[in-house]
Amino acid sequence: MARYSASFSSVTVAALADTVAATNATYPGTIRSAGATLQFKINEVYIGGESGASNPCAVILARASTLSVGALSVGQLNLMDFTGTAPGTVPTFGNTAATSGPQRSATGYLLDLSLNAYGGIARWQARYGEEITGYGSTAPGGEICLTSKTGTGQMSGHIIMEVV
Amino acid sequence: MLIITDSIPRGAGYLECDNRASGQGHFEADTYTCTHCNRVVVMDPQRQRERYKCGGCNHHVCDECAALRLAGGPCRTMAQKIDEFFTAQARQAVADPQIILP
Repeated sequence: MARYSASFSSVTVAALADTVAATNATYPGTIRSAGATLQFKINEVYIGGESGASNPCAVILARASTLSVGALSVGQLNLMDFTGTAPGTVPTFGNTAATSGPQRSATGYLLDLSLNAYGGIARWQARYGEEITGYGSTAPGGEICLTSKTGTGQMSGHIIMEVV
Repeated sequence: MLIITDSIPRGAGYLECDNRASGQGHFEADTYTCTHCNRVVVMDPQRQRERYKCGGCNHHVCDECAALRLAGGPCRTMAQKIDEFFTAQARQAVADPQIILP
């Protein structure tokens, strides 16, 4: 069991409609499973607003109805235990996809973290055993994306997950 | 021994939205994760209606999954769905003639 922190820094988000491919660098990030037999569990999401003026944002953690394509970059994914050993296959994280971004499922909303990006924060922690699970390499299980539905604020934050 | 007789989930997850820096409110609530679809449910402290607890998995589920269950749908947890998915993957791999198993 390897726990990872996926973090994003000072991303200015753009409002994204459901089932529309996300534009690079305009959403906090997306976690894509890297294998057909891979499973990951999200147990914390934190977002902190950094806008200089009021900017209410509805940031949605949702399954992707269409997976992103190409390598993901921009965003950190680090093993939390310094002495830990990375599993053979690890999900990828980022807000920039080499080919196309993920599409947020209209029916796969998992968390709606609303905040005013003018200094607001939103944080969710799962109860032990009630983590959000991503699995496989096909939609909708294989990718979970964090995108703004409304609002265009600037934000940083992290997603903590465990690769099973 | 404490016997709980209401329908409120306990020992749940936690959601905090703190917008006091922008002159707005601070919201905290317990959450639970629907075992059927993995959706996180923020428990509204004002809610009076009972929260549905699935008799199949003995866990609280979200309102949409509760409606499906009450309409006669089966109890299928996300863990079951994942297990079925991985079992199908493994069977497919075994059935694939391109793969030579040791």
